[in-house]
Amino acid sequence: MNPELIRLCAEAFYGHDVPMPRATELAEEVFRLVEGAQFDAALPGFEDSPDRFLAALLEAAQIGIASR
Amino acid sequence: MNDELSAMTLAQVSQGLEDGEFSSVEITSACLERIEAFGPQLNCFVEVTADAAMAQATLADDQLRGGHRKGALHGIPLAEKDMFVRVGRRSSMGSKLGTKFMPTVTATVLRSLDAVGAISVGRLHMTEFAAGPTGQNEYLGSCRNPWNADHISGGSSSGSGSAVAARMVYGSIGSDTGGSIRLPAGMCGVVGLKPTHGLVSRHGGMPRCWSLDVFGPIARTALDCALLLEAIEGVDPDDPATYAPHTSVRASQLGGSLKGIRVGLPRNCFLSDAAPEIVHALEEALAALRELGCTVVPVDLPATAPIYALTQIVNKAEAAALHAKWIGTYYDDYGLSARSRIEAGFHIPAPLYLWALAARPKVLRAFAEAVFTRVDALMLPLLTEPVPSIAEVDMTASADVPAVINRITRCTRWVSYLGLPAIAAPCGFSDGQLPISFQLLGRPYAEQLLLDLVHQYQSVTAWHRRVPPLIARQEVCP
Repeated sequence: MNPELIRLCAEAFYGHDVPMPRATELAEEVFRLVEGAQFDAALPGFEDSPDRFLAALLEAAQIGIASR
Repeated sequence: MNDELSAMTLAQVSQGLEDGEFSSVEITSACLERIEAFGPQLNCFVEVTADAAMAQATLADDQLRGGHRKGALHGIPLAEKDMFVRVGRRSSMGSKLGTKFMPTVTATVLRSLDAVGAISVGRLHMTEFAAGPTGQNEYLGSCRNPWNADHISGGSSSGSGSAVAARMVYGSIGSDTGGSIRLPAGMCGVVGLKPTHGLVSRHGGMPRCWSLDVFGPIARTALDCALLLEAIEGVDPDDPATYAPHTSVRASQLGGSLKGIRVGLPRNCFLSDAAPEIVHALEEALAALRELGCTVVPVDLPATAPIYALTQIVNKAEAAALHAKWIGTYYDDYGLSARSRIEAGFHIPAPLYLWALAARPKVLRAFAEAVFTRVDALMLPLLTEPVPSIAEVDMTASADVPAVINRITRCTRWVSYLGLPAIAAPCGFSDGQLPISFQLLGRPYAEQLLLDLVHQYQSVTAWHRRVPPLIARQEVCP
């Protein structure tokens, strides 16, 4: 990840010339987050769609209830 | 008499009002006197609306005398984090930019409290744009911990924790994105409940992060929190996250048998490197729960560090999206702390953010299967070290602050990604006489159980009855 590239992307998103003196530091932070998150290599299915989170909460609410 | 009134809990003054032992005007006056005496030294209020509060209290007394009681909160003085808007009234959102935004709606939580006759005595300090767990704010100044004013109150619902602990109000509503209800409540020695994602409408509240934000109560006891939650939870067409069907909290049903309830204690993380005084306090809390009939079960938690990283990706990306326009236009009006947190989100690629969101149902399922097939609630420390001093989190004086922030949030932030309910409650005091608190996590929508565990814990312990040793300024400097 090129700090200069993401600096330019950020400027494009702001639509404003915002100083980014911390671009390298922030790029390293993103690297750390990617590494830390230990992403699953499997391709997500529709069952993993973010809009299923409420349904996932309802399912998780029942986990272990029967064993009580 | 006024000190006696302000020392009572929300449930106690509610009962006293119903029984006619005192009036809403009397308890509101008691709160306002305490705010006047101690508010400035704690810097916990952004604005005190004394005249409006007294008018509301007079009206409430008339209604109560006329037999028109609207519920347990009728005539009770509360205050809210300064990020819940009302039509035509500006809220600071902890920022100097708050003056630029005139609300055209009233927050659903405020409308809910209005509907049951609660009184607002003012709006409370918060971290700038709710971005940060310490209670520091370059614009408003630091909110202070009532147990020791040199220490942080916690944040971002900083004023809520500080004012409730200092007995200035009987309860408050805060927001939690990664610990912002639990941390100030626990650091100030009161109870804070982060509800399940979607239990309480966020409409009309300042968003910090769409996917992680929840609103919930801070009060002195679990029973008080239950009374507040009863009033604000429920379906709201303006917040589709509230559409999931669930069993509502009932304060009147607290106090049932806890026999057979399994409380988990993680054996592979958090406690192993927590300060000895914190480990001791949690062990004592578990012993109390055992006495109440609970079974304590050691559990191995799934690794929480990756969940923490996923939380950060979602939090930072959404905060950057929310603030993109304003931070581009008003860059210099953002404080260093808020700006540096928001700025990081512009560097997170869209696929990374979407991966983090897509992983959420799967990560929740895996966590629930690993934990909730073995236990009904999970006990964790709120912090693994004593409450930091204000100097320790001063970004202008120390380069170590990001590490301190990560330590403060390591037990709370990842819970928000999972969307689970969590409650923080006091269970001791450190050598420095600052509160130590535990955190209990439950299955989604298990607020009733979490509140009951703390309610019954508080029935056999007295940590929540301790009052901060505040000294009015005129007593110090005659």
